Amino acid sequence: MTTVESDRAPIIATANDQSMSSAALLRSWEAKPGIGGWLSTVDHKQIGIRYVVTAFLFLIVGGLEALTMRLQLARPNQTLLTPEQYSQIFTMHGITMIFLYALPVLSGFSNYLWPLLLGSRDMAFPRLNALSYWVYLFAGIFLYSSFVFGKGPDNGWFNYVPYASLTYSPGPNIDVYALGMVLYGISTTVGSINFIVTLVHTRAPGMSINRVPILVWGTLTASVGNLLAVPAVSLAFFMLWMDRQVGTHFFDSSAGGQPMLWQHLFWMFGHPWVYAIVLPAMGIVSDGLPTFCRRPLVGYTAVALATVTTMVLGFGVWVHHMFASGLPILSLSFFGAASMAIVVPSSVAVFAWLATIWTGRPVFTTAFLYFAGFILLFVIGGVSGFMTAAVPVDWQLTRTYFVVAHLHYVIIGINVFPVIGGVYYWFPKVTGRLMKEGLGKWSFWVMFLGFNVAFFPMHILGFLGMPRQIYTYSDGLGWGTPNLIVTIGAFVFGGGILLFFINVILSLKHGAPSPPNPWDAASLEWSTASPPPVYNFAVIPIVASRYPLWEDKMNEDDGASHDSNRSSVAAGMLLDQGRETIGTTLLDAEPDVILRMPGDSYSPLLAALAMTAAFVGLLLHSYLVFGIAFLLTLLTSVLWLWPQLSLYQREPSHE
Amino acid sequence: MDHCAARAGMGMLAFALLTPLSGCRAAQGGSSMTAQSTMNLPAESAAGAVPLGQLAGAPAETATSLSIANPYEHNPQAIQAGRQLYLQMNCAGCHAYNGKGNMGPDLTDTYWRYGGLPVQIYNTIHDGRPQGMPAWKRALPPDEIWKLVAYIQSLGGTVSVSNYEHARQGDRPGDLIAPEAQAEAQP
Amino acid sequence: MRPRIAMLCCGLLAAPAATWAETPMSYQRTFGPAVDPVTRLAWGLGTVSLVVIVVIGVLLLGSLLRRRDAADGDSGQLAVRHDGGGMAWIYVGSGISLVVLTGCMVWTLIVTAAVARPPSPPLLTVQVTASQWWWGLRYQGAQPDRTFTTANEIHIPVGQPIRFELASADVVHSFWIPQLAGKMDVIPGQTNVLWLQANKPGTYRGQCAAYCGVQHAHMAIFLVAESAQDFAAWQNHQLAETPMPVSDSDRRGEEVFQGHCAVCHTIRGTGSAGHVGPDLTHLMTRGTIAAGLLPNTPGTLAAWIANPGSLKPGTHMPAQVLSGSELKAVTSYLTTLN
Repeated sequence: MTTVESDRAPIIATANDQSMSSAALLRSWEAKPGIGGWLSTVDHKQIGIRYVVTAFLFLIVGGLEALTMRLQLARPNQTLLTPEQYSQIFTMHGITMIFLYALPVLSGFSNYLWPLLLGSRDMAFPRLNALSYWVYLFAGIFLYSSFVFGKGPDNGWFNYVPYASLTYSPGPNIDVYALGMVLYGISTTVGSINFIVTLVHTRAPGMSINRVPILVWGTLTASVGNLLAVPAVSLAFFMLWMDRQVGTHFFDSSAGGQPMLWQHLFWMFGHPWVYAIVLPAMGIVSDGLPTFCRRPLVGYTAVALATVTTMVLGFGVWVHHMFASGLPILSLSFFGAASMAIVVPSSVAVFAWLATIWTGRPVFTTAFLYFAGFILLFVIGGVSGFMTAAVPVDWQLTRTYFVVAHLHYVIIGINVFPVIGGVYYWFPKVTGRLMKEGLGKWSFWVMFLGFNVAFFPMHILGFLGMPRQIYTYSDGLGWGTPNLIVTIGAFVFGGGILLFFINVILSLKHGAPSPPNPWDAASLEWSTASPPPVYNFAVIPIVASRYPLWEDKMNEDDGASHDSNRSSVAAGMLLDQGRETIGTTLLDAEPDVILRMPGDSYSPLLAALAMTAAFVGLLLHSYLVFGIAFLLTLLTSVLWLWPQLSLYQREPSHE
Repeated sequence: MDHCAARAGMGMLAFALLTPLSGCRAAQGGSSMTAQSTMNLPAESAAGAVPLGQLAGAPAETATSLSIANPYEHNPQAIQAGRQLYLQMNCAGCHAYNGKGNMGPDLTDTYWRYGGLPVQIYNTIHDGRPQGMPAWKRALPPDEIWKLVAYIQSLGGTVSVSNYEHARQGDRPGDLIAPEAQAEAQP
Repeated sequence: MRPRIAMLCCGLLAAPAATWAETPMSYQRTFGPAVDPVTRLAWGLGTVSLVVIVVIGVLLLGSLLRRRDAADGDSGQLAVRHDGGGMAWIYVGSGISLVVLTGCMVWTLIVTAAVARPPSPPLLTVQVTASQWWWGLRYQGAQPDRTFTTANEIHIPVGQPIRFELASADVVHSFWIPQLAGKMDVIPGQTNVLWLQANKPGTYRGQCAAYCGVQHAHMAIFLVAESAQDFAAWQNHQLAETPMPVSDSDRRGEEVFQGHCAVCHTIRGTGSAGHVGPDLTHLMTRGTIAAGLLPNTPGTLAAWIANPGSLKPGTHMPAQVLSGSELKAVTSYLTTLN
């Protein structure tokens, strides 16, 4: 169609995957075949899978780094690793897990699921989506580029100055970290923008803001948080790079700069970031648990508000990472109080989950075990955080293994366990096969046991005074036996993760075929085939409640269950004139405009390559390479934004 | 997952597994010089064989001795360590913080009274020189002196080892004098 | 099989208890007013935390395992058929949490105020300069000739608040003696202040608690708290003249020291005045060398001087080129520095 028809009224029709219209949809939405299609696809499901697979590969690398460290620390005075090797490994372990695994895996889940959960056909900006993946991948490779030569960043993931300055770190190690993080920040920023606009504008008609799944609330909150926080760290790293390579003195106290400025900028970003890497995972549990408790989530509104409150408060606590830095006690007390206050919204969520299980009827699938186990790990991580929120207590606990215990309980407990549970939950939808339940339950119990044996004793090590980031310790301090227990637990935990990966591979080949809704779940994605067709929905659904697929089972006298007020998956807007989805209003999701979506394009890949080349140029001090790459980035932007008739949009005419 | 993704995934898995193994190679970074024990420093006797002054009649081995390279040349950790020593040993007290000289000569120009090859600079620091340059041979082991030489080389005025023919003897006043100093030297 | 499992469990539980005895860095028991209220608070918060974990654990297990009506056997049915209910859980649970948190917050503020300032103005100030990877200490006297510098081993009188002024010579470090005080970072460009008091005589171990480079792991510090007389005796001893070497070997050792070591180290009263490494005056009054890494004996001294990098890889102290007799001489000279 070459005529402009964006302000036509969409046809409401009844259709399914076998209809003629669906064949047309398939032709419009299908990716190009072969390697070209693979490189140029903007399909959110492909991009979501790539994010998750890449994140899990980084998880394996980070895990191997961890196990190497645990071997070194199992007994006193070991010499498996030199001090410099150990420093590079603990730094890369932190960078890998926090940046290259924790957020991307959640971005992957969200990318795959959001349009399916929201009743849409794609994210708001499909090409930007592809860009965020490619930049993440290239940033990950960039960050590892010097590590393979033994010159990886070696100053911990929070990289304090002045050790990070050129005087004490003359090699390329810190430049790689600094420039790699600025590049990575591009991926996070464009990804966040994409999620926010998708939520604001592309939901199914009737999916008002109080009906979106909690995973959506979680990712939305994380995205807004990231948009506000990432600039702080990008600025900090860029200033560090300038201090090192251009001759500025932002952080150099001998020239009027402030080492504390680094700490403030970094943690202003760092604290909201750690909420960004857990809130979507908490959303996975809030959406998955009700399915296996056979009842809607208790306190949806409370949980949604708790999610937002946590992120808002999360911007007011960053100094709790700096309690020992000599800041005035009055200001420390404010941050301590805020750090205690932030426990409250978390407690709201915990009791909501507990109530859902208690008043529901649990179905003990593997996914459910992960979601239930997560609650206990969340609470253990939460209370250890509560202890460090007390300022004078933190003066003992900070930078000891107590904090290492806390951070692993919260990151592994609140990110990894829900993610793996989420894989068990959505694997049938993504691949069309069920994962093996027997092996699944083994993987849960081995992981759960191994995790607690590995990380609970770290609380004790913290109380025994063992500092962080040390490559070895002397005999006679009482740290030997707990460290040995930790190492054993770590290997058991690794074994559990291995079982999980084996289950994934076996199930891909031999898993039982899955129907569209094997768990009898309530949200929209379960109304599509397993795996979903490339266009997601034959017709855009109309949504009338939080649990569209359960409306048949819900009480008749509930407002959402009247016949006139029912969700509809079989009948809805057709939108088969090319790649289209519906744009809706923010709060009530009333249909507003037909949105034309771009098809496959090489621009995101080319832009990502050009951006990465620019950063490589800066790293190698080649301003020629930088200049050319910068120009290429501009060129690919022009290519990207080149007007296409098929994307012509006009303001909808409102009468 | 489609076929291409699976292949790419296996490739990335191989990368993932190899990375930490290769990262375990001699790790360098920060201010650590833990690799120094494996650095092959030139033998003291070899450096000592480099004569000073006119070389007519000097034995043939002179050529070999003169072309001794600094094992720490271009090594960023060594250059930083050398800079730290330059400050801690108060070289700056005579040669100024930027190496441009004050009481002592400019170390950034191309004029080297006692020779500008790495081994000649090493000997100057090691043995001391008339008119005020102290001898550091007791206070600083060879390793530390070579790091100082690396730092001075990073200032840009030294003679490259491949050019040793042109530095067989120290520059007399007036030879190869830096343009700025030449202007001053005009009567 | 069963007895073995029982023994293993008992062993695992007992292992932490066994380690209690020899744990110089642990702070479950502390010995000074700068940290005792904090220790009580930590135990209190820890108890609250454990209670919370147990309560939630019981609720979780209860909710998973509790008997439910067999009538819900039809898995097609939902357990609860309306979108609501269960809010009491949230109100009660979060309400109790809020009350407990507020109580803990108030207690925390009280403890913070209690430890913020010493009970009386400190009469003694120690200036600490943290370097990679050792601690310089300066005791300022009322007159210049009562001021002295030492390294790595602090002495203080018991029962008195002591003020520490913390400065860094290079990167961020953190001064931490767990049984006497919380940690305080040492940040270049600013001087942070810490106070502490030891109520019980003894030797307390501390360690740098901020990553400062490859030997961060080996940057310990020892604090000896002693009676006022013993402290005065120690102070006078530190101010006393350095003993002159007597034997030929010791004189030779002093010569070696002046030539090879004096650019970095100081021994007051001799020709050495180096400020790069630790002050070595009255070296033999210290229990350890290399910032707590090695005991201070002639054997370890010799090994350290011969090749510091083999014991503390990455240390800034170079391996001097000394012949066997020079090494022996300088070690024997150093052992005369009582």
